[in-house]
Amino acid sequence: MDTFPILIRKDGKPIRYLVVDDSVFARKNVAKMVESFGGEIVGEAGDGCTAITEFDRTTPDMVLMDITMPQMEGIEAAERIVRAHPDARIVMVSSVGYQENIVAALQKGARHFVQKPVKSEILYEVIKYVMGDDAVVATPAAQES
Amino acid sequence: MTFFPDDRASELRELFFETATELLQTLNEEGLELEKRPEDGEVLRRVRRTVHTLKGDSAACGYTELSELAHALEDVLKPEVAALSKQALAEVVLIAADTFSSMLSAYRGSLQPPAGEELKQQILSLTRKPASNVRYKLQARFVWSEYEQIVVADALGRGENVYNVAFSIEPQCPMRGAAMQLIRNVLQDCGRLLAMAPDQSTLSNDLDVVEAAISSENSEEWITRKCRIPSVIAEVLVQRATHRQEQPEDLLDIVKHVTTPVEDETEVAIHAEETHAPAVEVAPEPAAPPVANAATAAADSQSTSFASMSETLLRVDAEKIDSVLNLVGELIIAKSMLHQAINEFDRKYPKDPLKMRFSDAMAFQARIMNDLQKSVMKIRMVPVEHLFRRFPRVVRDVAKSCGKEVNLAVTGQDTDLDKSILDMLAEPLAHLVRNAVDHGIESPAERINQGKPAQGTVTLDAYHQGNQIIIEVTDDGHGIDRDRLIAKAVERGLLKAGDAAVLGEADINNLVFHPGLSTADQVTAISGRGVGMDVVKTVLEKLKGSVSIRTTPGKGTTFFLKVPLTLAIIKALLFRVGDRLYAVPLASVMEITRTTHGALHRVDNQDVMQLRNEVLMLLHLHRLQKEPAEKDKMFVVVISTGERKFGLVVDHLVGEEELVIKAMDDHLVATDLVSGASILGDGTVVLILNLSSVVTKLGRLQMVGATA
Repeated sequence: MDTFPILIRKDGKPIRYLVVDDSVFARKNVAKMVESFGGEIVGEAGDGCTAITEFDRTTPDMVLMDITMPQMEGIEAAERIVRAHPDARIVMVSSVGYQENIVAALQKGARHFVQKPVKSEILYEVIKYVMGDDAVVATPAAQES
Repeated sequence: MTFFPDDRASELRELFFETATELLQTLNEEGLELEKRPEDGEVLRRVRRTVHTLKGDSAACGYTELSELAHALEDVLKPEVAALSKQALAEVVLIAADTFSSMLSAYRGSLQPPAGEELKQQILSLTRKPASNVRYKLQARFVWSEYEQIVVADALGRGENVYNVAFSIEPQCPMRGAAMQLIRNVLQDCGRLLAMAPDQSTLSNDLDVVEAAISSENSEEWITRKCRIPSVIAEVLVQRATHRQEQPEDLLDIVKHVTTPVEDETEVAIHAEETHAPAVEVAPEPAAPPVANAATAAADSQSTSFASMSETLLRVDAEKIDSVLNLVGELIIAKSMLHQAINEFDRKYPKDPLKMRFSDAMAFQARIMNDLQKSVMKIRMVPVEHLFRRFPRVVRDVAKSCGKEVNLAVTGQDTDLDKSILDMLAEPLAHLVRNAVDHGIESPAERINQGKPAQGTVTLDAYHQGNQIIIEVTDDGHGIDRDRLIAKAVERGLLKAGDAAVLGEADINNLVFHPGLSTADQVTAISGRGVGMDVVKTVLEKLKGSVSIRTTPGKGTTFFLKVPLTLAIIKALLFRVGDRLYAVPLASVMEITRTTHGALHRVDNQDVMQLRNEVLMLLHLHRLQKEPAEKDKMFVVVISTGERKFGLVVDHLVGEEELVIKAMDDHLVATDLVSGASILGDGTVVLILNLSSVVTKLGRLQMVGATA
């Protein structure tokens, strides 16, 4: 896996992530990527309901949310989270072909989307973008794009 | 991998397979064209468009493996790559068509698709030399609708900071609708969205630029950073808009200059002139290179023409058409019932004034019925081109694999043929074409030795002949070696050595169709197993058609495939044998003649008669019924199957009739002598004879009878 300059929060702490996906493999895969960016996984959820309670418990900086899941779909979970926490940063993760769902999620307050299979360099850029001014590159040597 | 939760899934997937097959066919053709003209940008663009559509469709159906491969392929279909790789690119496209095709069939069978490693490698090898990545410069026009102009002007008038923002969508971004939504979100985060073009929430695949005007308190730099959305946006252009009061003439001028004639926009400009509405115009580069714009305009107009074309085409399940055709068939039966009733009425009341009105109505109805039948038949007709177009690829591949140079010439591709017949002909035709290239055409060296051009030619031709369609497959190769064919047949025990001399030319040629007989010494991967020709004959017989051969040693071979125009309704000759009513397709009837017992001769245990200068072999149909009702005078219906003529001995001739064929299930009829049945107006059932099996059966019966 490529190495990326470590991304940290403005206050110098690692970015805290909640990863939501019904596939354990997909969760681990994404978790591994964000850890390589210097992030910290504070919670995982396999369905929308758990995602909401996990969000309330952990208040992560970033949620990576799958679209299709049992019980509660990603869109609804995203909508509920954003309604309760307007500042929540949610990035939808989905395969090609779920365009309508992604559009819906974006309308409901998701900040961005990445496509499965998730490519680490894209995920990195998306995270950096969504974190905006709240994240900085840890190593001073890293070049600004 | 189901993405559609409801029942529409299978329907959509079916549609996908159908369109994908067509796309692959197009891809094959375009690949061949690209091979010929690798430098032609237009061909390349067409290939790219096809691959792109395939990618989109397969992605939409959740076939990610296919869509990813198509995506990778699409990436290398660039003029730079084409210029570097020359023919190699076309080769990759053709390989891709094959790979996609096998993936499709795997998907269809819900199997794991092949990984397409070879294709991946080929694609990689094309791009190993990094082609200079020329990204076109983002061109922005910032032309708003009238309403938007007012909104923008209003914001400017209140002293707000208005920015014009242009995005170019990342070419690889597969979800343009989502991209559009994201852009909208981001713009709303930046400030107040005043205007946006295009307006609709989905982006058409051709459209790569989104323009917007926002009112924002944030700095230009901040907005630029915010709008540089990773993985979706390739390039961003942010400009501070200023209030400009253009002279209407100037404005028109600029609009004309910056935009190529896209209708509604010039309309907007004209509007502006008329109403003198305050308009905001930012012409970023008044001398914008018109080439890029022209290209997008061309792409736009093309996409609209596609759209309007598809609306006039209807996709209809073939079954539905069949059921209409069936009903028309019933109508025809009803018509003849009515006809008969009226005839009876005529005879009973020859003076009745109603008579005339009946016959008028009858004639009118008959004409409409005729038209109706023709139109319904036409629906089922498709040009033979549908079938022929797949052969350039077949010829190329076979020729390449056996080291020959072969050109395919196609004529008569506009000839229409019933779709179901066409579909059934695909296999036999492909076999004949492969055979022609593999066995018929000689190697280039051999051809030059014989004084022929090094490049062989295979010709496909289709044309009408009466109620039949003839498809010819001709090669200019070495022809069929009759002696070797006979030797082979004797070797296999299909023929007695002595019999060979008795056989006519057509008989010898027909040996080709015997299963297990091939004159090719080598069995190649493509042909030579001697299985296929047998299939050709079987299929043609099933279609109530025939196949015949004309071959000239050293000059070439032509296969004639004769098929009826349609399978549903035939013109037939009706006759009686004993008390049974039979019919034979009129197309196979040559003539009708009469003879007496005294004029018959027996040759080789077979009844024959002399018809002018020919000797005609007679088949006694009543032998099928086991009733030896021999009369002295008899009718002989001369029929031809393939190249041979036979005389059918019948008792009475009934007449000509249009018959609606009712297929009979196998468990209803245990014989292949009858190919179908039909119902006449008076309710009588008539059996339609399958001539080729009648000929073999009766021929054999007589033989057996003679030896016993």
